[in-house]
Amino acid sequence: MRKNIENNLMTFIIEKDLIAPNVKKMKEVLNDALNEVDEIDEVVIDMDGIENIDSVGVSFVVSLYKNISNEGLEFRIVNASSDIVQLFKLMRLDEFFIIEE
Amino acid sequence: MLIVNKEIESNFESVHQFVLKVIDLIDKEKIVKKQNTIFKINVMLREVLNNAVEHGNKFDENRMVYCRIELDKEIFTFIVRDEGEGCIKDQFYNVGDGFTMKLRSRGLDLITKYGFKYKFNKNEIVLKYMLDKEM
Repeated sequence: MRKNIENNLMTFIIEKDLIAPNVKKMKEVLNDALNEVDEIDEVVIDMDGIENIDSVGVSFVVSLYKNISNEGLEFRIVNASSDIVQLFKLMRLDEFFIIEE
Repeated sequence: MLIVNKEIESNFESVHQFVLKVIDLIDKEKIVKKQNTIFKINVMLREVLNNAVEHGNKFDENRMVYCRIELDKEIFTFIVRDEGEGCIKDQFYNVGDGFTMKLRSRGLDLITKYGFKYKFNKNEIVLKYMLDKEM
């Protein structure tokens, strides 16, 4: 996973599938990165590299959204595949945060 | 037509590797017409197998998860069985929680939304998917 900070916007580029075997490590990396920075307004998750997802991965995204929104920050998903966008919409997650293809 | 009949070790990585092989097989053999259906099967299999590993077998390396996939007259049948105590429905799916922000309770709702019909029998779940009704 790579991160980029620019103009108070932190972007995480996820390069591995959002599935059960990968989530624990992702969580650690993301939490460490979020604890290191102060002055950001928005967190963006770039899902360009994700082909596979499961409910552990979805729960990770939801948990992340909750933590970030509790800090008063904006949260957005970008570059998700059409299948993943559809999955998130079926789960009505688009009611909570923006999901872009 | 039998597509897969296999036992899987009780860990998430084994589930991942198994699902990749199944999806690759279905894709190469052009069994389904829509790529979206392959994605749905991918998500469904991960959901059911991960739950069998976590809640059925409780990650016990001495227990296996059994998976059989058949295709007959445009109807897919997926049978997943663990070696747990049974009643897997109650163990790992909170049916009826809906699509809220609640964590780890969405699996069965999503599978239903994807068009899979399912039936539980103790520590076994049987799912059907009709290819002629691909959504």
